[in-house]
Amino acid sequence: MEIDDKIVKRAAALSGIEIEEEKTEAMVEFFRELVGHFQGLERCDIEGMDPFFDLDGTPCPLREDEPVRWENGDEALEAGSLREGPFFIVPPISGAGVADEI
Amino acid sequence: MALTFETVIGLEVHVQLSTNSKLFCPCPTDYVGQEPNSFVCPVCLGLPGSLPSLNARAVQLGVKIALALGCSVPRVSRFDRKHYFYPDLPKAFQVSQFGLPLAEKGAMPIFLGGLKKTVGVTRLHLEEDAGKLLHGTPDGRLSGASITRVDYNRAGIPLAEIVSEPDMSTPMEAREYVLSLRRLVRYLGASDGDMESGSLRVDVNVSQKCSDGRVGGRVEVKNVNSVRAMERALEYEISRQREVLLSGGQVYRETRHWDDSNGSTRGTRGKEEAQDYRYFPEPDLPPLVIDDSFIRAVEKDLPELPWEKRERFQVEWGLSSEDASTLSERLDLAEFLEETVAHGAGRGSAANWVKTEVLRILNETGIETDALPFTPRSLGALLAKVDEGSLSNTAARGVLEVMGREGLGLEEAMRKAGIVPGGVKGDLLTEAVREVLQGHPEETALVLSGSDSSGKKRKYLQGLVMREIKGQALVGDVSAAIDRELDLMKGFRE
Amino acid sequence: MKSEPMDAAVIASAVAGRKCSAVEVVSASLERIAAQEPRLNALITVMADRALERAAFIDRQVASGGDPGPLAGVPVVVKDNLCTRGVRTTCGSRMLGNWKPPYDAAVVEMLEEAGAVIVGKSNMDEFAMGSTSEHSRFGPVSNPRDPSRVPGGSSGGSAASVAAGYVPIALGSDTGGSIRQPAAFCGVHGLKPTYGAVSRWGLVAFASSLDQVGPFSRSVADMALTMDVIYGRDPRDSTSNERGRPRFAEGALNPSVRGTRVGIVREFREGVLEQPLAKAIEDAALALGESGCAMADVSLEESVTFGLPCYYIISPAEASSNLARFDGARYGLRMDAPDFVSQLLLTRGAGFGDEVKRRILTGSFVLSSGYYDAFYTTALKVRKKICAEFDRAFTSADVILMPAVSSFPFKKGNFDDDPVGMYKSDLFTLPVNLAGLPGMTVFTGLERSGLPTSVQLVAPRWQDQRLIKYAAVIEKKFGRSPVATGGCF
Repeated sequence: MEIDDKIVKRAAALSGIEIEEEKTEAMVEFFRELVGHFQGLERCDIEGMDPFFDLDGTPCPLREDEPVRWENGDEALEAGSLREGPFFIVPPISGAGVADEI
Repeated sequence: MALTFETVIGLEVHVQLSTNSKLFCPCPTDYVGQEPNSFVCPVCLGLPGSLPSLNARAVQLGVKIALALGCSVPRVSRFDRKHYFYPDLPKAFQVSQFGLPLAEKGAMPIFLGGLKKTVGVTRLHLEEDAGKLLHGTPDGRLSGASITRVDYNRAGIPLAEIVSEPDMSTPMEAREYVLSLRRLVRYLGASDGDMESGSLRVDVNVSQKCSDGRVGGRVEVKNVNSVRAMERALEYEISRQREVLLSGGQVYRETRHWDDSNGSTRGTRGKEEAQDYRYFPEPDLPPLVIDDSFIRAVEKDLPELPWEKRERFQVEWGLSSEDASTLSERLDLAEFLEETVAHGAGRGSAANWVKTEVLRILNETGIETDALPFTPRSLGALLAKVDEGSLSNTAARGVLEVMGREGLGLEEAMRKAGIVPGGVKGDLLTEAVREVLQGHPEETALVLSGSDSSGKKRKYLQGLVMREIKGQALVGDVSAAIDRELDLMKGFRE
Repeated sequence: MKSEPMDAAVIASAVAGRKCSAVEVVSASLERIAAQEPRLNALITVMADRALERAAFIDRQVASGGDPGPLAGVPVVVKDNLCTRGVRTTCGSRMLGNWKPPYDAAVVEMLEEAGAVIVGKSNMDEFAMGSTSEHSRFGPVSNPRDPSRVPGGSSGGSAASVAAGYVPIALGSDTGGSIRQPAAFCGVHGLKPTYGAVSRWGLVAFASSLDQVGPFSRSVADMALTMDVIYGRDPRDSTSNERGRPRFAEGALNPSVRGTRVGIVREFREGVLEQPLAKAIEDAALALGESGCAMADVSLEESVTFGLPCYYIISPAEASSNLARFDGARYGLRMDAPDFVSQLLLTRGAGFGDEVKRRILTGSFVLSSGYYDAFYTTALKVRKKICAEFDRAFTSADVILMPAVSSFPFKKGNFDDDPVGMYKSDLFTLPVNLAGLPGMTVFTGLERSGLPTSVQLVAPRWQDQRLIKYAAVIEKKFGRSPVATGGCF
């Protein structure tokens, strides 16, 4: 598998992290070494296995539909570095890499 | 030969489920009109260290819709994380069901001009709603720049996403599908299905097949916020795609945005590569297991479905397709009708009365049937009298009006309206006489002028009155009432 | 009162019996911290005022005849990835800034409910990613047994706090060995419970399917005492569970292991370990044999061969997802930018350190289309095989005895340019996380150099109490972990 800076840059874009130009080569090297190890998994016999992983078969517990109002909302809001009244604020949304709303 | 086109439409409908608490946290769901960011907690704010816990009711409602649509509900389904950065998505992933959805492979009948068509349902899955963004300019410190306000009250509201097969070919069919689905979720008490407030949202997928074999790319249209907007967006998009293909161009697979104010769609991302959502199983939630007893419990709670009711009204009750449709539109109305019949009214007269008198009151006042001033029991008893011929429609309307206005039971209202067991008297009788006399001026004039020597005309008028009041008065009373009226009229002449 | 640090059990009964006050105990703990912190840097935040207030509250509780709980007045340290309401929780990262969580982690609630007094938040590798506790915005932690060496990681601050005698008990988190490896390096006991046995509510997630909270201690009795407090299902953590209600403290007191089988891992017998660590395994096996255990030969070949790549696919994948939420909008660091995407990129670029960036990028890569099946899907299948391999091993052994680490603590800076080399040091611990098993590093002694030796015990799922029993037997033979004498090397 060829690992180059394109792969690293795509991973960076998906991660929402910009890698400085001067650090890209080191990251490519890191990816190469790591992927070399990953490819060791090819020697593991997983033929025909279902990837569905479930540690111990305990089904997801279900919570009763009883509303509870959380009381520390103000503390949570205070943590936002940009706020206006009861709102969190973000700068306008534009640019690539941003998906549509649900 | 001129090119022809076939339109292919599939819909993805999101409905907010009517739970009391959010999908993965106990925050209350009645956030509309509340202070922004006041119905939030560490979970729906996506605070570090918070973990989801699944709402049982949301699962029940999802399964309920799925069963109503005839979907199969596998024993095991699972939640996955769908990743993208957007400020309304507090964890930068949406917890949804991707690989193993709650339900698959169902269908819903829709009716167009009385004809039935079945639209396939590919899948139904549960997912969490996002917060709300309000774009605008700030008051104060970031002057000049525009900002986005974020309110997470809606974040985490449970949604069921229902994905149809691409089985529709006209905007009208799409409309019927959405209306039918809305009717269904309302019947089931699973959602209020209100598109204007966003509790039912539709994404449209539309493409063209050209008779020369070309197939246009599938275009997804977002931001259609009403049924009307969806029809308009489809009409616009169909003609846009056809024009592109007619001019030899290519329709690209893309997402477009409906602009309701100028009635057009526009591309949102140009030629950008497809989103890579990096789905993987939500490690914080073990697999969701829906066993037989869960299914049985939900099944027990399923009402007769709207299309089943409609068919029964048409086939068993003999109602017209239109009446059957109108009367099965609302579950409360349909149930009111059936109870009215259960309390003695004939199906035909009950249907007539409910679709006219009852529906008129509901539409004028905006109330539900349980707030009506009369019960199906009293309406049923009233209509039974009409059906057996002991009360005219006019008289019955009068009684119903009294029941409504005075909040009286049937017996009392009839007494008040002058209809007592054994006879029509008083005002009602006078009213009937007046109606007959005024409706037959020639005969009345003859009697008044005294030239009805044989008394034939008078007898004729008396018979008309008796017919009007279904023979429910004593002959002497009728005669006396006619005399009184004629005297009055004479008095006017002289 | 004595100036020598006391065991939790001793403190709790002394405080409850009014032989000493919680305020005295906590003050002594704070004094040790003040004296040694300049050298060790084990704590990110010292909660002196809050701790003294809390201690005073417990003293009042005792005075008024109330039950102060099984950890009455016991000073404890919790890793700085456990949320503490109103007290900054940083995960050792710039990214969280001085974020003060508006809620407590479940284990924090449980400790406080039991009367414990949190005196500090411990230093750690950023977001628990690392094996040296050097990757922290607050600087590296030093090993109390030898300050030129790392304490291990990522819970290095918690391990060092216990080894240095700040506190008898500390909590850490373990995703691939982050409790057991620093316990081995610092010469204390460290237990990673069965996945699901301790609530993760309020633990800032690294890799959700692998993370567990667990305790450090210098004695098995204190370990048991802490497990009795933090074990159990929490409805807020859907992956938490419980099987029965084990009584850990009783297991520590009456450690009967006679007639059971101890699995010795074939693949770890020769050549892979530094000699004193290999000898520790042999000695522990002998001790268990003397107590009536039979030795059984077990194989963990696939875990040894494939565990590392499997882990380094799954854990970054989950980390890339868990750490996606840090966008500057709701908490933590925010860099000024004209639009949302620039704010996102600038904030994450400035907030995350290099190791965290490496893991996030790795995770995005293995989950991205085109590579997903080759890496992520394959790793899930391999993980199932590793689980099955442990299941097989446990058909012939009741507990597995194996090393926690292959070497003595690294010198500081050892892996500065060799991240993958650092990953390889997790070889003995991470398969246990992949299989969701309980595992415990048990202190077995100090070498003449002052550096510690240890062994690792691994039990089947939900048999956490077994670890306590075997550890108690080993501790009887080798003695408990002494407080580090400090800085004379």
